[in-house]
Amino acid sequence: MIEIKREAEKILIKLAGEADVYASPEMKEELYKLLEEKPKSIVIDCSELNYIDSTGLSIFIGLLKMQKEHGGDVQLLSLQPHVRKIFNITSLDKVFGIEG
Amino acid sequence: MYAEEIKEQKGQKELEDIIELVIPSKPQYVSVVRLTASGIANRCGMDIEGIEDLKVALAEACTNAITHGRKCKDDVVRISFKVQDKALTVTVSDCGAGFNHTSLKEPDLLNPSEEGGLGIFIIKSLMDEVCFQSPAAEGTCIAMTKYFGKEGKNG
Repeated sequence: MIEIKREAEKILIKLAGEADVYASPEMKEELYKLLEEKPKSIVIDCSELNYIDSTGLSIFIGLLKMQKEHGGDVQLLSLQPHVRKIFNITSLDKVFGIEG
Repeated sequence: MYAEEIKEQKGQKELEDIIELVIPSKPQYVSVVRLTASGIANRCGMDIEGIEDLKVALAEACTNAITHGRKCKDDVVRISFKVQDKALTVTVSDCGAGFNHTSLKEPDLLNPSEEGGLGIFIIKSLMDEVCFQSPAAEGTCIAMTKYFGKEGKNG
């Protein structure tokens, strides 16, 4: 489930549910569409993202790579502890801007 | 708590109960595997962090089996849970072409790519023991163990 809001040069996205092998393809398609707008910043609220694995991580990695191509960034907000752990063990916490 | 009760029922014997699950090799059933794993691990008395680790590791193994293993008539993924006194071992097998796990590179985490290696890396990080068997033409089998309590990686 994805909610999208626009604010100046930012796109605010709220993700909910599980970013796994089943949900990720649809999530990827919706999120990658937003990149066409070349936003300066993509801010993703993860407070209702209950689960992530490598299929979900790869979407985030792809978003960040494409954002970097035009000098943009990706910020992640309010990760649940076990979602945060997956970012920590893969060292992706050092690659993304993570708050809360 | 539950593990102790089960042990009492079986007397002095070492516990070794097997629970098996066979799913169609389709992404929509991976969440069912996670729920099942969560239920079994809870019954064993595993703590919440351990259960979350197991769910992710097992989903990674199933994801690999589904995305690399769909090359035969018997399009299923077999998951076996072995419940022991101090450990839960989960085995995931498919009938795909198999892969050479020794050739897997460690993922370059600070310069990440969208593909490759991440799932196996996550499994190895979250589980206490991981073992691969990938005999030619027989698919891939991954066995992973999580210990309860003090013996586990996370205390």
